[in-house]
Amino acid sequence: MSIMYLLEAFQTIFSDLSSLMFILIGVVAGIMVGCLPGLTATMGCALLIPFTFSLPPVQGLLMLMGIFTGAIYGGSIAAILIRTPGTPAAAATLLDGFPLSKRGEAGKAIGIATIASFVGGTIGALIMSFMAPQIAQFGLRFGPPEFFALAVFGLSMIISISGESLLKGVIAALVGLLITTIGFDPLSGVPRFAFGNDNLLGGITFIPALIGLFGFAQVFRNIEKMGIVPQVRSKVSRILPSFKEVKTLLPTMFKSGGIGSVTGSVPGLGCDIAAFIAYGEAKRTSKKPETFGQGALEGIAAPEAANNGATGGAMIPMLTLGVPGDAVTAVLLGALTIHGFQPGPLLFRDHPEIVYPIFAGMILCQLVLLGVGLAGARLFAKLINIDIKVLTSIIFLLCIVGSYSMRFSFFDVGLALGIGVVAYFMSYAKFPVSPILLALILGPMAEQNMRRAMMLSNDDLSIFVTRPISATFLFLAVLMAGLSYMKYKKLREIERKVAETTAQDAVAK
Amino acid sequence: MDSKNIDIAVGGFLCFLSIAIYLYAERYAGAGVNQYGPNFFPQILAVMLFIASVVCIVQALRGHALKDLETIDKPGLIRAAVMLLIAIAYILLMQVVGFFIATVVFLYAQMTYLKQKSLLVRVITSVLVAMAVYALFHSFLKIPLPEGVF
Repeated sequence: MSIMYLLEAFQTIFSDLSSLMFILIGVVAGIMVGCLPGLTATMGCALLIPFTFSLPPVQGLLMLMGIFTGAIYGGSIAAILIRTPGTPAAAATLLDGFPLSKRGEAGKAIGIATIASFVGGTIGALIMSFMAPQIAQFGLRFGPPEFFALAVFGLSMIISISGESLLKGVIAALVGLLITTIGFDPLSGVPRFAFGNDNLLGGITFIPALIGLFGFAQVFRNIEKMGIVPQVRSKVSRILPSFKEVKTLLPTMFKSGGIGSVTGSVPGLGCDIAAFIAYGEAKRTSKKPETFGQGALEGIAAPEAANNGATGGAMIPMLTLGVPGDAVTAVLLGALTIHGFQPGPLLFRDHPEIVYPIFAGMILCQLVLLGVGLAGARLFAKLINIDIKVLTSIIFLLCIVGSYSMRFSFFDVGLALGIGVVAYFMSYAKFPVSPILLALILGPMAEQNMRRAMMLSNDDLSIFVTRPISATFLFLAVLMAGLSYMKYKKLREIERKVAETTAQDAVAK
Repeated sequence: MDSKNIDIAVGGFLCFLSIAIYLYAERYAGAGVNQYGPNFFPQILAVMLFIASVVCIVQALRGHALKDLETIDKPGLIRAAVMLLIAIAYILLMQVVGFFIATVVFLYAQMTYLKQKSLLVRVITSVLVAMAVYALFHSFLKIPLPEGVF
């Protein structure tokens, strides 16, 4: 059944060539954003959402998915050339990419990254196309208690991976959740925490918050670091690797693409972790593990296939259950909502005309990526040489115009700037920002479903643990929190031991 | 400020904030259909935030704060602050002279402040980018941009 829908969706896209054009624009813009260090995929999507407002929903979404795909791939170009991942997801790629680049084989490395991204991304897109409808089918059984438990699970995942301090991740998520309670309460109509300001009655809107957290904060960081970090110049040789080299890497690409899709589909893990898992797995099963880190081609193929595979994977929980897999999919979810579609199991039942073009578009994005990547990688590599002073000024402008254009409101610009300043200082105090974004998405879902569940059960809290699906999610949430706490303790212990031994060494000397 | 003091300061502020939120949310009590009304969620979050902040302070006092915080680069911070002021001036200016002129000035001012040396680059980029953004937002996306008083 779903394959028919999928074919129909391809037909829809091809019948209107402007859709293909928007995919192309998205992918090109995504690669540009990705290969510029300091511009992440999240920021790219945040900045470009305003451009999709006036487009029909499908085309707007296709463009955003193109940006997502392109940015995750584009990160590898900077990682290989200048040893700085353009996006966090490319952090694993530089381990082998930069040594290759030093040997003068940067072109080949980028070529393999392109092909691996295509293979991985296609696997991810296919898995998404065939798994998502099944999961949505399952999701139709969910009621308010299940959705509440799911939101809690999603939050616990993002907190558990949110950097060094678990506690700070929790605090960030709680602050984000509290922000979502600003504005009209959807269940009772009571305006909350608006302090008589009309602009706050609708709540803190998503776009200004997003641009503040990921746009302005990053711009401020870039401006601050400008004096310290010197700009590195890059150049690229021939792009196409030989067919033989690609053929020997294909198994790694397929396996890593699969690993990436599965990892990406777990809420909270996302593309960067998928890349590291695949890198580790490729190294473990390699015949020559000692070459890893010194320019092994597998060391590029694995993480690149995985992080692009994860883009498809991360879309699954976002579309089917309304729980984003990472920050970028949270942004895509926001975009869907802005266009008037609430992701979740009902989306599949009520709006197949939106869902299946998303699948088809994701597959097409990979093809476009392959073409654009192989043809244009040398041009994109030149982008890294753009003067950062000029670039920062332009990005700053786009952040301001972007936060204005949602509601044509200067209040929103001020709000975004304020949030940006707070987020900028948060990163110094080691408070992660991603939990806030996820909380902004999951907060209303958690609150409304919690209170609806309470209405169902006549204020009996046990409804959350007596229903099997909801109990499972809550159990998993507690388990994840427990596991990451143990991991955190262990890390601390190792740190302390290292500190002790270095102190002893110092005394011995 | 070292990481310990930062954690204590942030924790203290959040403690205060969570108490304020809890008390303020009390006024929404009884507006819902059952006992879990509009006040319930903010209040339970406030309680959790309070607990987390207290733990944060306690950990900092016990010397558990993360050691190696990035130090803020003073000249960098000042640079960022000045850029913020330029942005605020831009937003105010836009409402007087309109989007296009303000944007050219804004871009030029930023690049000058960031010490982009070539005058030609500054002028050409400012005008071209402002034109492109204006064309895109005003003509293509049909977003009403401030026209100014002229």
